[in-house]
Amino acid sequence: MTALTILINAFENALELPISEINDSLEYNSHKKWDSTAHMILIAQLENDFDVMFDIDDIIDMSSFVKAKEILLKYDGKISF
Amino acid sequence: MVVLITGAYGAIGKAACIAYAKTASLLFITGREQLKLDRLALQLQQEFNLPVEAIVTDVNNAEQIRALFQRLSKVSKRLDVLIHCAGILTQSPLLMTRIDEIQTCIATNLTSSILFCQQASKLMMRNKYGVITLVSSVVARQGSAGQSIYGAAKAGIEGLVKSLAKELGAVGIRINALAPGFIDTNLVKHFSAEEKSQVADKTCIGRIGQVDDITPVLQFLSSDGAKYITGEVIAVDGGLAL
Repeated sequence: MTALTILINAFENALELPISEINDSLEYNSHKKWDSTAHMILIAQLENDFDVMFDIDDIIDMSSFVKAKEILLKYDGKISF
Repeated sequence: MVVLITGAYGAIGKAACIAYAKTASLLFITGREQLKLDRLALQLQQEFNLPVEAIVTDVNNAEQIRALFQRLSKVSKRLDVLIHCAGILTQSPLLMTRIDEIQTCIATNLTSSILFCQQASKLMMRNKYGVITLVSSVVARQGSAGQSIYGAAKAGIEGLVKSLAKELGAVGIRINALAPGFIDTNLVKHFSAEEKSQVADKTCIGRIGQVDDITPVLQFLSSDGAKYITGEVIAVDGGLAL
């Protein structure tokens, strides 16, 4: 499974969104399902799936699907999206 | 059930370790002193045939807390129960309390509770299940001369519990606090027999508390029997606060 697929699945599970809605235009609070509670679940899911532990600054900064990719790359240089 | 207990070799922490060792599948214990922690881990492993991870952690060190949870995440991938017992009692009149004593008291009792909740809840969210129990004190509500900073820190824990219950309930995490009264532990060893007797007289039950009075309540709060209880502060004080 590619990193992008894992990421999309994480968003799908955490935000309970159809895959068709998970793309680079997806942003925190711009979609009604990506609220603060869903954000907490998303963070937990990403930490689990990518085996990382985010800094608080990165949790705050993870404001979009694009940003999530950027931040994950910072933690694991071996993955690519 | 994966359980993390802080302040593990303190009186309440140790009693909690022994109580949870009977039901946990994996126990993480923390404290500041390696030797004490290792001794307790060995005792628990031998007595209960249970895997125990002893991880030295200073609850005033955010990096060490983070490292603890990294280890926890790596080993178990989940956390079901957090019992945060670590704390200190600062006893001195307000006008004789130095800034470093104030900061240490707030950091050890309150800030550490916040940091442990932050890390634990993140891990618990993976399974949308978890129970956190913090330790407050009768002093938070009743006050005690010479314990203003301690009382303020413990009152902070009670505020933390109320708000986090609202924040974390939706993701399956319950959080409560226990408010022990006068429990016969090292924290109160400086009290004379006469002073202890005076405190006992102020309780409805007519005696000071023992750690055995605390552990069944801790276990209840993390059990399914308490699955509809969150945001509560349960006094275990023999009626001292009445």
